[in-house]
Amino acid sequence: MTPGKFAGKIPLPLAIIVAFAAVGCILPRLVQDTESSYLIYVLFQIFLFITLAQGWNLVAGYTGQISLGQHAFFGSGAYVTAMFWNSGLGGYFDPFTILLSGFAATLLAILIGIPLLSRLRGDYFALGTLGLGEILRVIVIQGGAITGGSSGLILPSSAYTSITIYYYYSLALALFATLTVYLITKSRRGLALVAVRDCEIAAAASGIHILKYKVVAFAIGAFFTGLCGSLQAYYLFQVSAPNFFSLNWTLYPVIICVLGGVGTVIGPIVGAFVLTALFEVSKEWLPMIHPILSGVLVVVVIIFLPGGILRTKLQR
Amino acid sequence: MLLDVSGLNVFYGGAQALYDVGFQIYRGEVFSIIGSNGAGKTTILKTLAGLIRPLSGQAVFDGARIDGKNPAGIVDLGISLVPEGRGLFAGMTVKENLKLGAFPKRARAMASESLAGVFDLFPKLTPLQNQIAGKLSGGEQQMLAIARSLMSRPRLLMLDEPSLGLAPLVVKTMFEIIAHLKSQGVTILLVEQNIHQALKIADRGCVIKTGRITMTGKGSDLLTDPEIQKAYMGSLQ
Amino acid sequence: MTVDTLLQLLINGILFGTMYGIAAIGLSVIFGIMHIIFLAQGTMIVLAAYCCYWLFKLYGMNPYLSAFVIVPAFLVLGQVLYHGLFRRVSVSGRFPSLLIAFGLMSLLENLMSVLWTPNPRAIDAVYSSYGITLLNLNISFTRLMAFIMAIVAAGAVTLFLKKTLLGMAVRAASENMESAMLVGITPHRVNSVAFAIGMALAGLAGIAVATVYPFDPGFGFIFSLKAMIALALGGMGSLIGALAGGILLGAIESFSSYIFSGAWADAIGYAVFLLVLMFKPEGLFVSSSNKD
Repeated sequence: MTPGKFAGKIPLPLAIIVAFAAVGCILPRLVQDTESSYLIYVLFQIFLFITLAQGWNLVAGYTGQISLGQHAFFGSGAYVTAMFWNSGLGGYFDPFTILLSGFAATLLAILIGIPLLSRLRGDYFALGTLGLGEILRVIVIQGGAITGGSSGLILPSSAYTSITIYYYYSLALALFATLTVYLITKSRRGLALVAVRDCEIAAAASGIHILKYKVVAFAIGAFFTGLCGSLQAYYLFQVSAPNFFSLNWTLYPVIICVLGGVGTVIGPIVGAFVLTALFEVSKEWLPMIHPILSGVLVVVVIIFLPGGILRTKLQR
Repeated sequence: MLLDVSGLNVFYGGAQALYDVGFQIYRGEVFSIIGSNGAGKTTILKTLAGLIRPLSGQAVFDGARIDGKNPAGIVDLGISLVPEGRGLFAGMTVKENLKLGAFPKRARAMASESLAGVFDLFPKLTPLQNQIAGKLSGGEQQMLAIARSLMSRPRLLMLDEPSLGLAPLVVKTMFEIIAHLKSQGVTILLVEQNIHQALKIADRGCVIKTGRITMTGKGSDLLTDPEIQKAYMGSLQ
Repeated sequence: MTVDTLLQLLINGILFGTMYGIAAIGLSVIFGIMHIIFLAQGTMIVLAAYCCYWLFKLYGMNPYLSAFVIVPAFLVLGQVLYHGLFRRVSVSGRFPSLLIAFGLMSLLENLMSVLWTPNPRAIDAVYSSYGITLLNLNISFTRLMAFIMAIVAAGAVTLFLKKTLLGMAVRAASENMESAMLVGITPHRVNSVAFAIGMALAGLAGIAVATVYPFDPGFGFIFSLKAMIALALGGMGSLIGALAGGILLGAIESFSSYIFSGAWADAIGYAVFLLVLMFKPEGLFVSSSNKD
């Protein structure tokens, strides 16, 4: 993204991130009753979506590989959190549990990424990742007592204190994810990633170790996605295969990035707001259409609004 | 005048490739465009064939505007391009390649006639009919490529570097074929790096340098022009 | 495991595997020309299965006869889909097309779920449990019919591609789109033909699915995956390879289902896919890859 400069010195994306952080931190203080506040709840959802989207954005926008397996990482993160907590070794918002969930997803990404990415076949990668979620769902359902089988695991909801912790945690994740994407794209590695995206053959010729960069990007994206899954597990106090390995968790980041602009730092933020607004509206009036709406949105936006709402043009 | 090109400005791959390019080709002549690698020769042909849309300028073929028209329409009008590298359907047989050459509706009715004619012209292709095109030698492939273009009964045949990658003896044959086609009344637009042969066979031609036409004139005049000799043919003479 | 059981499993696998092969051929034709893997292939198969089911349920139409309705309908559907959805983005690279296919897949699957409920459906016809006994093996009638349909379809597609001018144009465009344009072939025309063929094959596969076992909307996604695995096993370039890949997958599944369970069979199929990708990405049946 060609950054404009704010106040002459600070790149626009960075300025937006900082402003976002500032507003985000202050907001709960201004709200009367955070527990019943719709705003706080919605923002929590939005921040979660942003993080999810940035995870996909990093891979799709910057290495040009379309991952359709985010739900595999989401579910993995969630299940690791749940299983760990259940086993007594982990806990509610326990940092170790959280990190473990993230790393589980990362490990999965690396394991699957190496075979799928090692061939110059973006198509195989897309469908290969798509299959991953499916396979994991199947395996988890067979897992018996450890994974709770098809009904999943229940977590002690008595641990719930307030919504503010979810709010701040998801805000932190969203900022962290966005900042990571920003920094990566600015760094030398980032430029390498863009080179990979734009012309693999040329990139290979200039000696960039393509596979390494692709896998790293994929792994980082998976890390954030896993953390999202973990967060959702903490929020719902239960995990189950149909909910957590649902294809929707891949669909959402895709629409969000498509809406906001793939391969931009701010795009996912815009997209997350727009999508949440659309969902909240449709929940009111068209509850059944909600999942279909997602698919329609993807198709319509890609055909009629390439580059997303902001009409951003990928530097090619 | 069969083809009138004027003021062509074309962008290719993000940069301007042609600046205000213009030339005229008359019926029945061989017109050669010469220039070094990357000067814009292929871009001109691709634009005329409809593969690239010019930013501005126009190309008029026998009274009809062809700039910006899509490739199928241009082939329908009677312009056929033999691309650089031959552009054959390498996995398909010689016969299939030729049959596909007669794809335009105008040429389809005469397909069997054209096929016979093409085998007459290129007898070497007859025994190779069912061979996979990709397995032919360079010279045979070039013949096939030209033959395929002829199947569409073109009024203007555009050849992009027909001698590229061919052995000198084969090159000689290639130009004999071009001369023969000319004698049959086919108008030919030839783009070549082999300056000497290209100008020898040309009735008229022009020189292109970094996207601009620098000189236009009769083939024989260009051939003996001292500047051209110095710039392009230094090592040859 | 007795030899009989072995052969039985093998036969079942091969017979049904041809259906994966057909779906894979559809993918292969579309991929050859547009260079995208049509993710929604499986969803289309399920759609066709529903069509077959409803024609049977509501009008009592014989599923095999319904092929004469469904296949032409899907031919048209393929053209409509191409012109409606993919035409505009076909020039923008594979990214948008891939995402559109993904969106379409989600959209259709959820739509079918809402319209027809997620409950499994099955065609329970008189002959559903018929079998032929050959050399001590029980060959199920429906699987045999599925096999026959697959072979006929594969033959028809091959004939079309080899003998008709339009078919040759599709092949030519798959090889070299630019040269195809230079002989007067319009990309949109051949793209939509390829799409139509892909969809028609999906239609046929749907009939096979509907007659052989119960299905629900969620199957779409799994079928897409299996078609793609079949394609990967067989190699992108050839139709025979795609068919062979499907048969191989069918056989693998057949054995895995027996030894482990249905769910694990899917996982094993996926694992095989990953292995092939790692060690022989051009496909198991392709000797050398000098093409794509």
